[in-house]
Amino acid sequence: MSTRKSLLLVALLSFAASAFCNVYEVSTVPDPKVTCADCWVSNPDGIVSTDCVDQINFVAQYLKNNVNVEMAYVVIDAFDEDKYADAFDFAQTLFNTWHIGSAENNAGVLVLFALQSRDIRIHTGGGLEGLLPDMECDMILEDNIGYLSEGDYDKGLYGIATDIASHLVTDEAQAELLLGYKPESTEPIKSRTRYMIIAILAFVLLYVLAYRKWNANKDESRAKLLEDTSTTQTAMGCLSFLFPFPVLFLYLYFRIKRSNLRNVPYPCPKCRTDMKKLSDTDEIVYLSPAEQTEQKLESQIYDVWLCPKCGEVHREIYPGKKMKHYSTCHTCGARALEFISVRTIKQATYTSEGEKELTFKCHHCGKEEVTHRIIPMLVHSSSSSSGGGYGRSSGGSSGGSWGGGSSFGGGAGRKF
Amino acid sequence: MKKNTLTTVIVIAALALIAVWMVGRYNTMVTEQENVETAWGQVENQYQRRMDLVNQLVGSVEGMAIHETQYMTDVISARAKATQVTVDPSNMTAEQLKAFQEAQGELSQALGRLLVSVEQYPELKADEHFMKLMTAIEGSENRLSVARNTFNEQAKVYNTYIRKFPNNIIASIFGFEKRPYFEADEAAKTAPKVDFKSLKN
Repeated sequence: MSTRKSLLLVALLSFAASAFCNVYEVSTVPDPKVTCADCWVSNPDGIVSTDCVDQINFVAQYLKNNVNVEMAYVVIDAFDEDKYADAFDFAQTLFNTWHIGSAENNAGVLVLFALQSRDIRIHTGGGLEGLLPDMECDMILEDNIGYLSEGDYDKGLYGIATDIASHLVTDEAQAELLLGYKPESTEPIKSRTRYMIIAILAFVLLYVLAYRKWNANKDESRAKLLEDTSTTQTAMGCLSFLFPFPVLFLYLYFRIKRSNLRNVPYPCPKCRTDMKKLSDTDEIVYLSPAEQTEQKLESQIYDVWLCPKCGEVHREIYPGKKMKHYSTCHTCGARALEFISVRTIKQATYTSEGEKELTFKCHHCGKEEVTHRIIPMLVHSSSSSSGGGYGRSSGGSSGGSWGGGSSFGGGAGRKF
Repeated sequence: MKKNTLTTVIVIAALALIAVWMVGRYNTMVTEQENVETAWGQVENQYQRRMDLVNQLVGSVEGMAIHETQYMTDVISARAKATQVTVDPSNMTAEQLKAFQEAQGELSQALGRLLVSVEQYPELKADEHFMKLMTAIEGSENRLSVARNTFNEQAKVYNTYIRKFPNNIIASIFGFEKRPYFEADEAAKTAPKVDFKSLKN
């Protein structure tokens, strides 16, 4: 065979070899965590038997459950050698892309097997460098590399898994791994800034709202002003739980301002002098008997302002504390009608409406008022609204995810 | 509730907003800067770790044939040079980092040449302690490259952050300066790459 022919043959053979071999990038390696929560082996090319995968999964799951270590296996034909300098580069990138190892102890380990380049590498995460130093990883490889060289990949890779596990289940290892470790987080600073910005914005918004409501009806009655601003005050009260600073100050300020409103002197409409508020006993002269009753019942509160200079009188009516207990009497017009009793005239049934009689009594004129009300028809209550239907199926193949570990480049690799 | 008060409140709130925003940005810059320094700490750690291993290596081959070669003399002189060049992480300049990288790179190359020459000394290849040191040095080189990459990534995050508008204004007010990167080492690329794996087999 001439040199040219043999060269051609070599080229053809290598082409054929590359055509039948799957070349992976980090992003194209199937992630076992996507398949199921307790899968740890990525074996897309079927290099190891399913029995072996099950056995390694069992060891890995044992490690996860007992010492919180995540052990990943990636068994592939080849990695893209144009993109990754060597097995170390590929393993390091894969490790930090998947984030193998739980966030608490950063204890993850990746075993990478690439058939074409004959690479076997144990890649350790930052939290395992103490328990699995490079030298130990190299020893583990040393002990199992014989099987790999002979082509008994099942035995070699399972042996590596059990050897790794044996380093991690000792009492000291367990103590170290379960102690935990928490990486520093930068989150609080950012969220604090956001919180402060929202708090200040909330403050400004509430202030502007209060300002507008307060000044919108300056010339109308104070009672109406208080009524209009009560929702604003409630809003401030609620938000001051979220933002004690500065909304709580605004809330307190606004509350005091509102409760003081009754006592702010009125300017006399005629001579602009500050009017004086009369005490409860002095103002009786200016109130009708009905109004006096209301004042006594606290259904309405009357403030009477008197100008000391020209004798001008101004009256202001506020809702009383017990306003809701009373309604307006149809005879005398005073808000002094109180509910006394209720009597059922006709019981409601499933087929017809019922009727009841309500009795009210006016505290001012003493007259009784009787009203009739309809009792709604009874309705059959249905005990369970959902008749049939299917329960939500749980279980099945719900995937999991890696814990969030990172590697600083620990581990050891060999050619077999 | 007077109109003047409303204006004052809004102006104060606007100032407070700007202040809070600035404080937030400033704190992020401090955090990012701290991350760069932590990454630098890792780089120094890894260089120190390698230095310890080189010391062990030099000690372990004493009295052996390889100890008298030019390769060994190169390693020893490069080691001496590398220990002298240090970098102040809080005040790092591009020149400093370059000098540091050159000194360390020289040691890497001297080490590489030495390890290639090990092929000629079968008694070393049979020495278990020596071979363990090989594994350790290999791991150390790997960690170094990871630490350098992490440092570059962190420095990039930090540099990008402080140079973006309007962060650059805050950065210049408070004196946050750009951090230099590790350059891809041209000399290291051409140096003989030690295939540790073939050494072991």
